[in-house]
Amino acid sequence: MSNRTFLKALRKNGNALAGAAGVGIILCLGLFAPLIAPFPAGYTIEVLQPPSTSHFFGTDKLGLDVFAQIIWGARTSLQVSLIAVAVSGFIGIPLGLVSGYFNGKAGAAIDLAIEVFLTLPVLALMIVAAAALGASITAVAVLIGLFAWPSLARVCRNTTLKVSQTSYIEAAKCSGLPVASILFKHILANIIGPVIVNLTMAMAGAILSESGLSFLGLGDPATWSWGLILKKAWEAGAVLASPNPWWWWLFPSLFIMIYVVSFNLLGNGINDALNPKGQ
Amino acid sequence: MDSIMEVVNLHKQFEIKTGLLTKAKINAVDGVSFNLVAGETLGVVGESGSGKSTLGRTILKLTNADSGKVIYKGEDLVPLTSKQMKRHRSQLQMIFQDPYASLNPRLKVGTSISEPMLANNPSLGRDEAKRSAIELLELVGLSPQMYNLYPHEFSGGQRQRISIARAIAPKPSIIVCDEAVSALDVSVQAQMLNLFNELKEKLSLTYIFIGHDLSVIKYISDRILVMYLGQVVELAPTDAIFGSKMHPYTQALVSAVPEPNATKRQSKRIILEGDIPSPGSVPKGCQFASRCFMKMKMCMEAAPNLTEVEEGHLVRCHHHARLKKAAQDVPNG
Amino acid sequence: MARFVFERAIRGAITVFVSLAATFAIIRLMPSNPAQLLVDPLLGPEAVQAMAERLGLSDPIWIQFGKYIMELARGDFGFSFRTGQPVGPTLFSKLGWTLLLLIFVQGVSVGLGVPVGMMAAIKQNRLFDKASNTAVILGVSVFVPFLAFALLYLFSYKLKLFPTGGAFTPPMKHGIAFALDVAWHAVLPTMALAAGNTASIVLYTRNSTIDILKEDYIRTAYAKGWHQGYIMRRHALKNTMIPTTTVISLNIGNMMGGAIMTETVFSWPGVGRLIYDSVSKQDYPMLQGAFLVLSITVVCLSVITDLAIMAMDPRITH
Repeated sequence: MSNRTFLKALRKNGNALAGAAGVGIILCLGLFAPLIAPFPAGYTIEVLQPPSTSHFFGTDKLGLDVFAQIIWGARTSLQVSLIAVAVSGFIGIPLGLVSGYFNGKAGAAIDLAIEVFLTLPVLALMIVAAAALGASITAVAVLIGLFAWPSLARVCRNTTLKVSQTSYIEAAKCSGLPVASILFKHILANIIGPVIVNLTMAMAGAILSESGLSFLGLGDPATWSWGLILKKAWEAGAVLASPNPWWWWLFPSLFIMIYVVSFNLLGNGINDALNPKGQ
Repeated sequence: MDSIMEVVNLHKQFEIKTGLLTKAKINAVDGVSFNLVAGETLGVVGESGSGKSTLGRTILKLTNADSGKVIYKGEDLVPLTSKQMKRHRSQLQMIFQDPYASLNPRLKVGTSISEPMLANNPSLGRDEAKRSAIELLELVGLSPQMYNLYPHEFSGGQRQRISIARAIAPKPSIIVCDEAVSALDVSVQAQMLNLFNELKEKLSLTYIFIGHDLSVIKYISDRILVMYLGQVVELAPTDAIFGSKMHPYTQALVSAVPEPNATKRQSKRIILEGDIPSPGSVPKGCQFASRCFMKMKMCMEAAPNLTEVEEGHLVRCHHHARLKKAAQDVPNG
Repeated sequence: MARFVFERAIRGAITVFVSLAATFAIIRLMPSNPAQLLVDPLLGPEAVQAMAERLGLSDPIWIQFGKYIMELARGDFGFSFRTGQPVGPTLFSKLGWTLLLLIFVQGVSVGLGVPVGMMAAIKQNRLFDKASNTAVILGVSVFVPFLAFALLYLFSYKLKLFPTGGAFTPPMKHGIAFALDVAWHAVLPTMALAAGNTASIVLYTRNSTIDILKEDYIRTAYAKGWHQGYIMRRHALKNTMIPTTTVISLNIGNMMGGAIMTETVFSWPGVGRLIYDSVSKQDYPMLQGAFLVLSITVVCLSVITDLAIMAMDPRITH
């Protein structure tokens, strides 16, 4: 399919558009965070204020603006998920290509590794590692990437297995092209669709992991992230307190939801646009 | 007759999954030997599953042989690593059956042609490679403007011309054409066969032309090699195959070729019973015995050897003496 | 068949080995002194020295790894910083609660996910299917603590229907009364953790049912005039369950992450809550032990699930 028909199909896909819109909003919030609100720090006397025109999403127990925390958290979320996805791409794509192309002993070994890493309780392992390594934003992001590659590698392997059988890859071998060029130019160009779908959805997965780690106290306490806001709210008893400061825990949760759903929708949309019904 | 390549006792086995956990080995190429004469077109025929495509792919080292030799320019290719193979790569090219699957849909056709030239000769430079690619497009009957188009903008015949241009780009001496015209319309097939012959003259090429359509093979080949279950059952000059054909299997294949001239139509159509045996369970005697209309007790017990019955004519059949006599008695058609 | 079981067991063993190697590598290959991490900071430098000797830090790395595995094989997971007691017994006493929660969750997700997925397939592209597709996207996207908060807020804070946490109300009751009390406490944690798992079961059941409905034997069954419910139960269900069970098996590791957060929010006394407590108390030996117990559990559960697939799939048994 040509790029033009793909873009046309993508533009007609409601899910993809909704997803792209959600991603766009969070991207803007994250990029322009310093212009929208100052970094929330210290404390004020306006504690636990409900949402109002001066505090869209209310304030927390220290009187800090929850909206400001969320947009600074968006920055963290984007940073972490981009780094994590890049790391898992650097590991997963070459491993998948190699194991699919050299489908012998090396391929089987990589396949076994993928299988093993998919069965591991990955969040628990990340907790153990983050607890030992200490938690800067970058360390957490790299850590997530180090454990997120298996599903990407699997997608790459399965699609590469199919593409490697085609005559145009045989022809490329026959032409004496270097293996790297066959793998990263000829094969990758033909499996890029499923790879992009997987990378998009990995953005969603990365933020679920990051939020989970922060919520459990393994994030960077000096950097706002959505998981950290929830941790603070929960530890202050915000969910069951009376009267209930619902804004403190609801809004960050909603942003995690929007972020994850947006990337999943976008991924689904790209997938549908790549594989139109009836093909 | 200068031999350009010699294939000696080539073997290739495949493991196939017969169940979820059970495997069987099949002999795709089972002790094939022949020599390839410089400048000839050697046709290879057989039913699907006869191993003819695997033979082509094994000769070019697209899959590695289990044993045997492929001697090219005095060097056995079989044990070479892909790095050592590099010095011969450009000499040995292949054209594939399906014109829709043999061009990378994500690359401009010009890139598909110029890339192999650059890979084999880095000193060439991009502009020079592009110029040669355009010359090649013209040589195979396409226009230079097509350089920047993608494969999906071409018809099947045009794509096959592009594949040919790609194959001749590195200036090969041998080209394996694997069912290279089978997927095309009959009218286009004729044009392509003429193009093959034309290029062979101009570029002094040698072809191994694999196919299942005996009328195509007859038209283009100087000699014909008939394969059955991975083995050579007959190898002879084209005239001999169609004249004094000897192996019962070849007879059956030839009898199925439509003959336009009714007066020339010779013996009646021979219809083989049964299918090609399951490659996992090959009979102990002659592999063809289960379907052969001439089988006798000895055929079930001992496998026949490939025997030279006359100069340059090899047959694998216990009855070759009888066959030879019969062939001489019947005047050639 | 024996070979299938054997291959599966080998793969499980490799997974456990990777878990061991990972925890070992995380501690030993760190730039700082590993002994420091494994000794309660209150105990002072002598204790660190003692630990360094116990770990054999001057030995070659392979010997250290061998010793580490031998200790674990003897059930020696080290000593908790909090209590000074061996970690092993605490872990095993908590494991039961986690397993109980997982059983509840699997029961709910399979009991709900399979029928909904099959229904969505039958009513493909109709309202039910579209609604379930939306629910699936939300379900696989859910952040477990968020769902836990929402459930707590609604059912505990507003409606006061379910307890806010724990696994039972002290003092501990006995017999049926205790079981009912635990079940009552488990309702909200089960819902929180089951959502994501149910969503992926719905998704896979739907897709595999759609494929199966195109098969000739299903069409034949329809042509014979049998009614839908019977066809689905008699013919489609078993074939649908094979890919679905594969997903359940693959999802177990993933679900453990959710279990840690669920148990944390609902103070469920399992291994997950223990992990959270160990993190906040910086009790590293406990944390490491908890992780190992979890991964061994995951491996055992997924081997069991795969054997269940084998029992269902005659193509493997014969």
